[in-house]
Amino acid sequence: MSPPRVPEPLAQRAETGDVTSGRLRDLQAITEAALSHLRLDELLDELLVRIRGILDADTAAVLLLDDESDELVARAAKGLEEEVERGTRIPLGGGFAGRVAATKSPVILDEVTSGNVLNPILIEKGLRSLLGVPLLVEGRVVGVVHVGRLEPRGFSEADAQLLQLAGDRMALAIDHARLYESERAARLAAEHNAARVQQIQAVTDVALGYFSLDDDFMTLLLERLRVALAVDTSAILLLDAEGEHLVARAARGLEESARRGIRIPVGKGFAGRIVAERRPVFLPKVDHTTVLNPVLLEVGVSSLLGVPLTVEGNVIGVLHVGTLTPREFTDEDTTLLELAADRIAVAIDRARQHGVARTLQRSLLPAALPSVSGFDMAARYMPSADDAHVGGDWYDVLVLPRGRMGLVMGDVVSRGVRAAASMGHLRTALRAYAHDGAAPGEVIERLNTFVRTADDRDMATIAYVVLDTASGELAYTLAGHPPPLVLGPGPGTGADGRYLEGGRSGPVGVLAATRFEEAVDVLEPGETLLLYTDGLVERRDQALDEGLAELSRLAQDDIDGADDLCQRLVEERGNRADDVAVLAVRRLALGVDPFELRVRAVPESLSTMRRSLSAWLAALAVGDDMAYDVLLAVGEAAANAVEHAYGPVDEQFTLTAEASDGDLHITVSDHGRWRPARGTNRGRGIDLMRQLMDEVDVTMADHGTVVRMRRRLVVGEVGA
Amino acid sequence: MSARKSLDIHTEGDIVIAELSGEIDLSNARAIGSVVGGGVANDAVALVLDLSEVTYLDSSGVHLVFDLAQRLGGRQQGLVLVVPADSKIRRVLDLVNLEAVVPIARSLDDAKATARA
Repeated sequence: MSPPRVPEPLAQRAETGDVTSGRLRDLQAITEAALSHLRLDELLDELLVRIRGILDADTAAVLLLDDESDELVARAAKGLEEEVERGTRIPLGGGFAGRVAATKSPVILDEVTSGNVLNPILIEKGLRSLLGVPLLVEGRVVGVVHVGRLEPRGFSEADAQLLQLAGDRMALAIDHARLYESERAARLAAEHNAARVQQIQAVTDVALGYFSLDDDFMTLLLERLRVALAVDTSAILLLDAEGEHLVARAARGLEESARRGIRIPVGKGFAGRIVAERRPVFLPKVDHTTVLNPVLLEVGVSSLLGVPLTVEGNVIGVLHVGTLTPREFTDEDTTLLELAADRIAVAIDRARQHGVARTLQRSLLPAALPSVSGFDMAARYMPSADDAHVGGDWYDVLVLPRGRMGLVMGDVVSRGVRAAASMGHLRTALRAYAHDGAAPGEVIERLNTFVRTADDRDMATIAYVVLDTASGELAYTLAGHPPPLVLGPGPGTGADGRYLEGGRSGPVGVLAATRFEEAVDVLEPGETLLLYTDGLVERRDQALDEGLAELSRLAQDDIDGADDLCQRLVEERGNRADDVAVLAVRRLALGVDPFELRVRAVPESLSTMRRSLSAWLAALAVGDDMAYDVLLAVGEAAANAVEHAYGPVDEQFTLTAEASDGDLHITVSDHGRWRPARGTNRGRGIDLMRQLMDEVDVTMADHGTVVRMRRRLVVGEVGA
Repeated sequence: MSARKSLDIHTEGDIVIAELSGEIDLSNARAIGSVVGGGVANDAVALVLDLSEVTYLDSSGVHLVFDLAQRLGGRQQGLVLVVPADSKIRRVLDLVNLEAVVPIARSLDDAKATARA
């Protein structure tokens, strides 16, 4: 048995030099074939035909590497091996093809025997010589192509070189085709996903059209959801008035739950957990240890996926879907369910608002706004009591990059179902454009284009303000919307508020490609910016100017904080016929004095110190989360001062804090020296401090130790 | 005035449950640690330390937990904390990655289940 020959390494693939022009043409034909086929199997077939031709072989075959199993898998063959069973697997290193792949170089077998090939077909077919080359892409083996002849010693070194050249082209083509295939697969998946998202939207578009919270509506919704996610059951549970129990309100496939009025305590069982933990839960196996609701077990639900229903940060219930056979719900399923839940929650909340407004004239639903240091903000939205009027009003407070805030007050002009849908789209689009960072005029311009090209082209009036939280500078655009009002610091200043009169243009959605004017102003410390919809100033029996003047007088009358202001305004100027929305943003006066406290260096005084600092932070309107971080960091520094500073004598340390230029600066200074951390436990204090604050500096000198800390107090802290 | 605190220890079968409330800092951490540690009988299988009502916890408190964990571990006894998902002290526990060393449950029931598992 002659040993396999490995040809001289091809130091350079100097292509044209080694090859006759005829063969060059053949190679070029291979490239062309490669480029014209993107389906891998067609490509392989065509390439093999050509290779067989070029090398005058009786058979040609290609195997591709399966990365995961490190095996070569037979993919295509022409000639004698054509009936080779596709899918034959050769381990890397094993047999002829395996060796070609493992050595990453061409191999010639002058004489084929059962000792040097694994694949029995090769011998069966009477092949006597073989030539194989690796298919390499950037040095990586992606497969092997080999050719065979019925005579022994059928291949020369020149043949090997030629086959390698052809193989190189083949490798690139294969890689390309595979990329294309995976791209296609991804696109198909995305399209499939898009179809499912559309189905979910179809579900909730129904929802937004209904405003009575009755069982029929919810059942229809659930049925659509069931189909969209291909599940057997779906259910909605809502929290009762006390917020301690979930009540099954509607279900498909689990109708008994609603009929029996099943109640699940928050924190217990499957649905109860979702409320308590405020996050999706996937239950692969449903049994009596994982769920409380007996109906789930009676019906035979096998797997469950549930998500919380949240409105403005508050959990109002749970939406879940289930299957009778085990199912591994994917992240994609969860995302889709959350998407549906978002919109269902809005629909339910709207329905409630409307139900409430029908029975109570002035039902006010305060909203949760982001908590921004240095600003006191509040909003109110009161839907009209009139049934035919479905709210097209919306407001938004956006936390934008570089310490800015976007303030939105909008009013979609249509009424009814369309208003709600349009409002949703506008809101989302505006948020997206705002986050792109453009100036107000540009943002509204883009929004105008968006509306003009959308299917539901509803006009809307919008006031959009971008406020720099550090300087108070603001830029604004009024698209057909009433002017924002700036109120002075407090009662007794004598002056009425002033309206921001610049930046006026027509409403959004009316004219194509129109410019939107922009104007600038400043919100000084102590001043309040008020955005509102026309329901607050328009009265049938009153000129708009009068309405504006009245609003100004009323608002300036007694500023006691943004929340009180909003409450007072909707109560006194609330409008039965129209929705009313109001948003107040008060820039806190910088008259918060720096904080200084001398503290006895004993453990018992730490608690009082924290309380004092906490009050000072509250006066600065620092968000809860940030305040807690600061208290923790100061607590650590203070504890160190107590522990390490000195002996039993009645000594003190000093804590100072001040806010300047958007930064919080804190120092803790004592008269002792810190001993090095004892064991692993005490050093933790400093680590914690560094994690909580932006900068920490500990300076030890003979007279004492000073810890300086800094934390940026900018926009971006979402309040607890 | 030292940090407000209150401490309740009781036994349920083979596990000891210690409920703490208020603030835990340098002024009371060591004392609490002693009392709680001392309240775990040798035949108890685990201690559940319920921190649901704790409003402030800094490195002194973390030290107390680690200390307890070591002591109990030495006696083959388990330690599980109860810290609800929306508790303020979650922040400090996350920063020191306490959960890598001591299991944290979101409710007393979950903690008892874990302790017995």
